[in-house]
Amino acid sequence: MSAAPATAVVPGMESGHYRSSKLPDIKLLMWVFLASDVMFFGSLIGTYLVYKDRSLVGPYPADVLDIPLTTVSTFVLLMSSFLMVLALHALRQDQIRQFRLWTFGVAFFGAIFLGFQVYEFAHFVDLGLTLQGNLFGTTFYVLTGTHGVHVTIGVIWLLSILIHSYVKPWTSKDEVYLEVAGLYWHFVDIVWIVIFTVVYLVEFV
Amino acid sequence: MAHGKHGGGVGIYVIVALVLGAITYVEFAIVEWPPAFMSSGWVLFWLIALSLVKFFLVIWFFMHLKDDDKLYTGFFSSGMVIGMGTFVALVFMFLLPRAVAPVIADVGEARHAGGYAAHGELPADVLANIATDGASRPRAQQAGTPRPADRTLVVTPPAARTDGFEVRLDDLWAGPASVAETGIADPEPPAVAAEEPAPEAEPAAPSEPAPILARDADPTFDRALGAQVYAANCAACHQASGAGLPGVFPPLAGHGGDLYRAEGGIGGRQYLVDVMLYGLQGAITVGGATYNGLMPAWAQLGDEQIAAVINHTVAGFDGVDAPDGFDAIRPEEVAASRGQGLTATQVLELRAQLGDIPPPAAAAPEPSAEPATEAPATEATDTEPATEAPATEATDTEPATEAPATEAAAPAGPDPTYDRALGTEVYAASCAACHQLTGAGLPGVFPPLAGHAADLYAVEGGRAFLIDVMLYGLQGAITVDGFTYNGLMPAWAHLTDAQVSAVLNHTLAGFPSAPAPDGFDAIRPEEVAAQRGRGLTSAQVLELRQALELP
Repeated sequence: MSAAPATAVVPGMESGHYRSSKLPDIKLLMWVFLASDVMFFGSLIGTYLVYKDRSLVGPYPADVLDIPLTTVSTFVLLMSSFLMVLALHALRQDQIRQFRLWTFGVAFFGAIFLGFQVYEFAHFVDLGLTLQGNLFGTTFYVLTGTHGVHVTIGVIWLLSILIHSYVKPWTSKDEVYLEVAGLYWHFVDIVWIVIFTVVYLVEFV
Repeated sequence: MAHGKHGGGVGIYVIVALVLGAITYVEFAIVEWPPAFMSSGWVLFWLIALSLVKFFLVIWFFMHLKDDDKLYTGFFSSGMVIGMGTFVALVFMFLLPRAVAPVIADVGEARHAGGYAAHGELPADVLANIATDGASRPRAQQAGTPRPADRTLVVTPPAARTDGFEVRLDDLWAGPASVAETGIADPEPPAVAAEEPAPEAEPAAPSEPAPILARDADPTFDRALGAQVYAANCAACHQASGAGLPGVFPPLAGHGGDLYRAEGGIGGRQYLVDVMLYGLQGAITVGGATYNGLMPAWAQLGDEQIAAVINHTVAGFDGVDAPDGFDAIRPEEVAASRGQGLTATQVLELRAQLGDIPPPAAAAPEPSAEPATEAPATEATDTEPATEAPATEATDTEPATEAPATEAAAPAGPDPTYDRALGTEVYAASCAACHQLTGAGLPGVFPPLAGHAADLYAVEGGRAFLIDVMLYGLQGAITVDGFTYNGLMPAWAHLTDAQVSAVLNHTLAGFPSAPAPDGFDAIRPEEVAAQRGRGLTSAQVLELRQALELP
């Protein structure tokens, strides 16, 4: 993220003479990345479903999954997405204080979600569910763990933005960088929306 | 709502966020408290529909696809299409074959159900299968079928077999019972003998229905055939001399005669025939040495071959005298013993009931069968009307008193105050796959439980440790009887307190091969309940084990 305003504040907008599109490259890149990530998670979720109910030994999903707990963490993640759009909205209005507040809020909520996941994993291991213990453990940990890694990256990203906004004060001209981070964050959110339904809720229907 | 390209007010975001939260709560609610009017199919439908709504709300409003350049939508959509295509292909590639192969699915279901024992009952047919110890028919059905004494009622007269050999599935299963009659020798043993040769145990036609009655002891038998069959099939393990390999393959010279003379249970004579027909699995003691292996079933041999080879082991070894009054086992007895559908493990129980096997005249000995205290051998006692069939085992008229019938003789052990049926059932469903039905384990792979559980029970803190192993599992390297095991015992906390306590008691007092510990006090469900919720890890349980002062 270069700070030189002339070349990179809004890439592709000012210096777009060598591009066919006036869209910011970085945003396009993020969308392409998200499209590929859809395939990534699609195969992980597919694998989970293929091996669902095929574990030979326990613990089985219904033995360990805790719907109320996960509902709360899902809600936290959804609300972090809400804070994300608030942060972007504030930055576009050059309301830097709110922008920082909401950005911190997003990272904080993301960290809470991760805390839930760490607690959940530790609890599951205590119950005997391990990565190599049975098929449910393998597919569950790989799927939710991959998602957790995405969340972790997002939290680090957002905190970096927050710190950078103090180092080199951000203005509304920097919005595309926050928007791209937001796209990533919302995507992680929608992946969890799917996981919450497919892995958690469906198990108890 | 669009106020220019980036204009959108905060209001729309608030509304979307509220909707997202509300939908999440609704999803939670219909799973937690399913509405009575909604079938599970509809619940599923609504869950998927609601999460799709959330999905598109986030994409559309939070990710601004609503009023952003359509190129982004195009990119993301194409990724979605490919991703969904991959997903659907994957699911169908694996789930479709499952759908068209219901047998495999049923197995999965059954195992699933096994794990869910805490949440619901096992399917009746699975329970029945467990209760039969793997035999093909439920006990209730077995009980209803004619006992060997009634065989003539269901059997085609032998005359029919001389010309038109009636092909029945049972005959095929039971192996070439007619080989001996047609005189075809079968010197080549199959590489792996079937452990349960006679699943559908409508008894194969005995070659002689009745005339085995009254006759004098006749010690003569086809010595040449016996020696030949022995050399071809038995000598590889039990050695040509019948001396066996101490600790690995039990001796037959001398021991065969001892077994022949044993009078408890079904009688040694019948037992010898059953071992040949159904094999033997589990720990036995012969001449002071313990053997824990698998004797394959040899039902594929002909009646004459089996009779001859048994006689060879009893009276054919050089330097071993035939028992006093030896009456050679006859092919008709073998034929009449077929079709009982015993498992190798049930034969082990039969062995335990033989009582004190007379020690060899020369060697000093240790009775190879355990005392009668453990005789209420596992599963059979509870379901079987054990008083029927007034076991007249010593005579050779009707040799096939079935396993359960003889167990009437075995009184209750010292302290059987736990649910033996439940313990056996849970053990068979959850433990036997690794630790084996006999509790013998697989050396170096799965530790033995028979005997070892009692050792653990005996040390201070062992009682609580046993419960912890079941509730929290055990991971890491342990040593049992000189073998190192470095594996993972899963936690079984999803079983109920009653199930956990019953299966623990089964490992302590339920194995035929291992007597209950002295002063055995059965573990009670309340003790299990008291130790739940401590959140131990399987590695911590290993530490608990290391803290025990094992002998």
